[in-house]
Amino acid sequence: MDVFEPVAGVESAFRPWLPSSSLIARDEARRYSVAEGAAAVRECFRHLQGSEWFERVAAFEAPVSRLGRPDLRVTDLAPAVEALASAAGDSCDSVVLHRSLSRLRYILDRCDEEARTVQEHSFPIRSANDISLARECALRLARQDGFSLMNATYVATVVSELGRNILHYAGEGNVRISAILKDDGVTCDAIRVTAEDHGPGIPNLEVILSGSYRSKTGMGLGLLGSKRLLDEFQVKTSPGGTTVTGLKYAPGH
Amino acid sequence: MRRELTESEGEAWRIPIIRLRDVLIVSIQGSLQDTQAQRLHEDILAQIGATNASGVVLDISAVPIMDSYIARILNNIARNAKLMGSRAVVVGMQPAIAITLVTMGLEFEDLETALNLERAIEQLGSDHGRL
Repeated sequence: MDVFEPVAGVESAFRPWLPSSSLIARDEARRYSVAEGAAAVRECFRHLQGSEWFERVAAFEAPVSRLGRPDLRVTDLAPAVEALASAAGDSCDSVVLHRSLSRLRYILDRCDEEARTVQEHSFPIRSANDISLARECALRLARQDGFSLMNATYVATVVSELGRNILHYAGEGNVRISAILKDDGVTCDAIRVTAEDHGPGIPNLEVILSGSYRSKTGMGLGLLGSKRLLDEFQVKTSPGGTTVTGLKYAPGH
Repeated sequence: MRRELTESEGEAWRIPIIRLRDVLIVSIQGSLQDTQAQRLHEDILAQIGATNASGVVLDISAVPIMDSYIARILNNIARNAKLMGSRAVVVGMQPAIAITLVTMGLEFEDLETALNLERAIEQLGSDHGRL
């Protein structure tokens, strides 16, 4: 979890003894992506730039630069919004800024609703850094859903391996991590990892999964290794692309 | 697969290599990024060449996740160190990582391991009698 620089007036928003209605308490229930909120925060900061308040929010440049991260949480947005609000103050005469601030608060509220319904985290894979983000998200998600450290490590490693395969063989693609819920709609039953790309496909899939294949670069073990780490594993491949879907059961499945 | 490091990336993420007599000690904190790992590989080999270190100890006790790619880089560091007449010892692998790598079926022919930093240095020292 990223730690923001404490700033007078905003710092209190991070104190752990806040009532349960705080953004942090609500956010602890579930992680999710709030890319829309991030875009809105960036928009607000653009309005602030060049204005007289900008001096006061300069300290928040670092958190704002992180808003592009796909594993963003609502706690990443809250301080930026509060910084904007306190910088703008009552004397603010910029209608645009006030409008974007209220839009921001609206998005933050809506994110809380999404937190209960959206269970999927999608990561575009274009660089090794994207893989790290997906991997960290997978680890946290699995741990939050009650997976043991070992099983959470399995899931995160699978995300990493499949992400690497995408990067190496297809150039780019997408990794999605989602929690499959039980009928009660709350308890996690399994974590699903889906890796998709539009690469050339895997012509020798059966050889790879039989374990008798070993590529010169040392790749190739990623797919078989992932299969060994998971409870369910499925590969759909054609010259138009590949989709790998894997499932790791939650404790109590 | 491998892409060139940009100047800033390489500098910002560089992992320090500490020299203790004729042993190099590297402590990897947190998740190891690909660029960091590649850089570390090059740095260690360069340091071995520059200092004639008889051994390298890689402490990975603070690494939470390691996939086959990073594991392979560690193995390659050990293989290259061996070629240069030095030895690389990996210490402190987390149980969850060890189980994961074994379950995946990875093999590490070139990798020497030890339980902790102290044992690793003893291990290197007992063979060379210089520490």
